[in-house]
Amino acid sequence: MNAMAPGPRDAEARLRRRCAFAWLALLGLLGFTVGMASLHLGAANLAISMAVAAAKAALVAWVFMALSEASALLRVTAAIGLAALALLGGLSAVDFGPRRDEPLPWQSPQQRAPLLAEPPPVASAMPAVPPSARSK
Amino acid sequence: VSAAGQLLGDAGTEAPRTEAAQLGMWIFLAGEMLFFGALVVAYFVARGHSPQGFVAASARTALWLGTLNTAVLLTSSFAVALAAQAATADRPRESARWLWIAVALGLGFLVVKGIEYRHEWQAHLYPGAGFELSAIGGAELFFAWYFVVTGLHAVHLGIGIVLCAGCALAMRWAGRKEARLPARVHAVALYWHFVDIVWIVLFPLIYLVAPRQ
Repeated sequence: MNAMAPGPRDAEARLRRRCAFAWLALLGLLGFTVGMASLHLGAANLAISMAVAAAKAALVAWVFMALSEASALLRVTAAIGLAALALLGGLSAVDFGPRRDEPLPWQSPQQRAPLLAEPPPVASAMPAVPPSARSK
Repeated sequence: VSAAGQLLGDAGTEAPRTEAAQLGMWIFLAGEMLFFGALVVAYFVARGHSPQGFVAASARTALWLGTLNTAVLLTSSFAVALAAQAATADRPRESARWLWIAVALGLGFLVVKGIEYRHEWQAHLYPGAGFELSAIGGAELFFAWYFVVTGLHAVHLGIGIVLCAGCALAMRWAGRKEARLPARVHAVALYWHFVDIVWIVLFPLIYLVAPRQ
């Protein structure tokens, strides 16, 4: 037996320390992101706050959710969830992102006004289909 | 027993059982990622269409209450992580103590959220007739999204509170006699941390859209 080998209590103490550091780091990142919110950095505000959120989420996943200690099976399962989210989210964004705003049937003109500078072409612009053509 | 058999907990030892429980929870969480992910994508699409409305609406949210709630939830995740470690180390009473702390912090989060909702109700910031920022396009959409997503998050947190309380009670009553409890605590811990991550992502989307004064 190797007297220098770390026992289960040492391993647990190490995990506890790691969790404590992660918790302090998370609170530090929270303070940082709130502090940055008072600075006028334009689009960088969004980029910084989302980067900090990603760092916080990664810390929670890696340390608190114990992905650092997890088997390859668990890591791959977590990664597949994230990859599916990135793929479907990206595809949705390129579909819906470039679309122009259209009023919904239930929206009153007062509700539409702030969203739409001028009303879009009405449906009557569509070519009318004669009843005889529809029955075929 | 094959590797697959061990994965399903057939070997009768604690590690494969915990691994199987965690695998099941991760698969469930992958579905949850897509559920909340769709709402986040919807947010970015709407924000891209109405940036001014989102800036004006976000400026009316209570940053300090949101910050307090984030700190509360991060601390609760720390407590749940310690509960899972104590369960693994076969200390059910300590594990139950940490779980109760997480339950208390989760309830605290819901109380603060309720205070926030009350402020928004009094300020007419809920979508519909009499909406305070109706002259600014997109502001109503922001608050519609805000109430849906924070409401869904609160429901998830409520489920987490019930699960944590259930685990804590089971730890107290059954303790070491129930061999499946550590695996259950690990699975519930993963769920709790996921709810925490959802809030971490929502926090900047709700409160940090525009620079604060």
